[in-house]
Amino acid sequence: MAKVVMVGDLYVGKTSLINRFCKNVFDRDYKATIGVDFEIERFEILGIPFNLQIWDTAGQEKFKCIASAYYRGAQVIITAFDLGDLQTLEHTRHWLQDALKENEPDSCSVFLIGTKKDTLSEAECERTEQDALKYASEMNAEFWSVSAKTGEHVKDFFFRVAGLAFEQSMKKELEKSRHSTTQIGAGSLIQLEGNSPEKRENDFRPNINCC
Amino acid sequence: MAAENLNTEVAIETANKVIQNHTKLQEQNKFQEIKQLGDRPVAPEELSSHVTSDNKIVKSASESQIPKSSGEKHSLQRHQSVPQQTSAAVVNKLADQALMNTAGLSEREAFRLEKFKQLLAGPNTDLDELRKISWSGIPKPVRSITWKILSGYLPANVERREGTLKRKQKEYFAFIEQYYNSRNDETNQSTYRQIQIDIPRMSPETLILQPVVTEIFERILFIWAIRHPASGYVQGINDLVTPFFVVFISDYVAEEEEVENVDVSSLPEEVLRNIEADSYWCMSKLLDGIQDNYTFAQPGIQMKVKMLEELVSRIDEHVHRHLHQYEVEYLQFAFRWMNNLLMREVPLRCTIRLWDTYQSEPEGFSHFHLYVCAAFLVRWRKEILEEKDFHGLLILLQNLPTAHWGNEDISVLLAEAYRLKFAFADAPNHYKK
Repeated sequence: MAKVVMVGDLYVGKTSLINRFCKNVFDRDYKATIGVDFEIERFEILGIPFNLQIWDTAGQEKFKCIASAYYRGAQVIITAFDLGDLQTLEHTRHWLQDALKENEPDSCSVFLIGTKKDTLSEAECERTEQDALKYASEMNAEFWSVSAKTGEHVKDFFFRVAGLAFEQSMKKELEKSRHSTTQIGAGSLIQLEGNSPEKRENDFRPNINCC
Repeated sequence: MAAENLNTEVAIETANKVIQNHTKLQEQNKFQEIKQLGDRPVAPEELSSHVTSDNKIVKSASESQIPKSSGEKHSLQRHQSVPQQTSAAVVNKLADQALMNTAGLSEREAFRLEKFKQLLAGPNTDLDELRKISWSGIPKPVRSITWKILSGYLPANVERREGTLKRKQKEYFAFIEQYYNSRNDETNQSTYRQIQIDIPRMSPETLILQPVVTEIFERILFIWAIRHPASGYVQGINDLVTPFFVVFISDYVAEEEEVENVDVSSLPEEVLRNIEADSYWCMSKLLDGIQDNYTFAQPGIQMKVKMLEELVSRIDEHVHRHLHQYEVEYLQFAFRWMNNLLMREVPLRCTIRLWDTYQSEPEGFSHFHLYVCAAFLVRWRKEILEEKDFHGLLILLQNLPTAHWGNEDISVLLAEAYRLKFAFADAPNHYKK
């Protein structure tokens, strides 16, 4: 099981994206999310059942105090923005910072996701994607652009999230078993931290799905 | 103190009425259920359980509508040899009872309406009496005026009402003059933009999406936000306008017509201005009582969610422990219950009925609501205890099946909330005496 937290400005389409994936439906006017909504999606990876627990947080700034309580223990952070609204892209930095603050350093995979792809022309989309890629590399995030309305890339995206989260969980399990056979103490802790930058590079293979 | 005693009486009366009506409703439901079973033979066990459960007290009507589990289906199949006449006889009997109860009810309703009219006619409306009679629901034809009086918007004195309305309407439209042009200023544009985004995604869609209605909501919410900078606009506040707007507009809609289908632009401009101003003021009055729900970090909500947890731990330890065992936190589901006053959890018609009582309770929206939430949670105890993991519990609690709820369900809920309030909070004070 992995905990996925979705953050981003209001009305960028967080709920729409989740509902497209989990229920395969689209409605232009989902009610504003109050506090947090919750969904679960069940996968089977390599024959092993694996669940994504998806926390759909409210986008209004005013709910941040409450929403931050849900950020804890996330394996995946998805920061969403509206491809047609560059301001929402700028804000993804803050959203990510807030979400990372509540978690152990280097414990989360990060995705940057541009939504409402169907509302833009190909040229417009490409321009925004250039900007988004810069943000993504700065955030150490993998970038995707999707449309909940048409469903474009939505499934692939969540499969990728699930795959990466699964891989992470397996690694963690392996590490745990490795550490349990060796001595537990300050030495292993330092070792763990030393390992992490390298590990992160391996984890975030850029896999960019463009228009 | 006196008011509380009065309310006790009312609550008991309501509870009795509720139970009566409820039994009737259940019978109707069963009647339909049995009808739906159609030619299918029915097990005698099943029928007898229907009949006996009618004599029991508050068991929710909705339970009978929950889809049958496969287990039940199997038990039906096992009894396929039972002759069909049994079911026909029961159906006839239930149908007769249902008819009789409906006739009795409408007579009682007519009597209540008359009483409301007498009270409202003045010259001075007895507010205690009005609260007392409103607690168990306000008849539709007098709801609008009663809400305006109970919320403190209109005075008890009949002669002063007309003048007050005129003055307040003038005051509201002066605000519009003063502030509304600033909606696109740099400091205000994010507030205005949020309001503009939220309104089209409210319900009932057919009403809200009419341009004239959208504009009314935009103005009401923007003016309120500007005049209350400590909280500003918080999502959820928008929902709180709807019941007032819908109730006030029904004064101008034929009784059999659904408010949702009204072409609002066909109403005279003067009428619309009045409805807009009245909605603004009544919503403001409501929000005055729960402002700390929407100030920075929403302390009112955080406190109430804690109180809810504490209350539930005392009234139903089993449910409380179950939630705790699967690591469900109250904030995860009850935040919205507080932020939107349960409006996201029940249909609009139920919210309106709920507010009849909230407005006749002292501190209805800020205090009594907590007991209603507790009663609401425990109402689903069976479903909650059946869920054996975190996911199942959270999905259930965020999507409680209330779509078919009506006045009766709310009345049951309110009677239970009243009982809880009396038993778990007010009782210690009585003992001190």
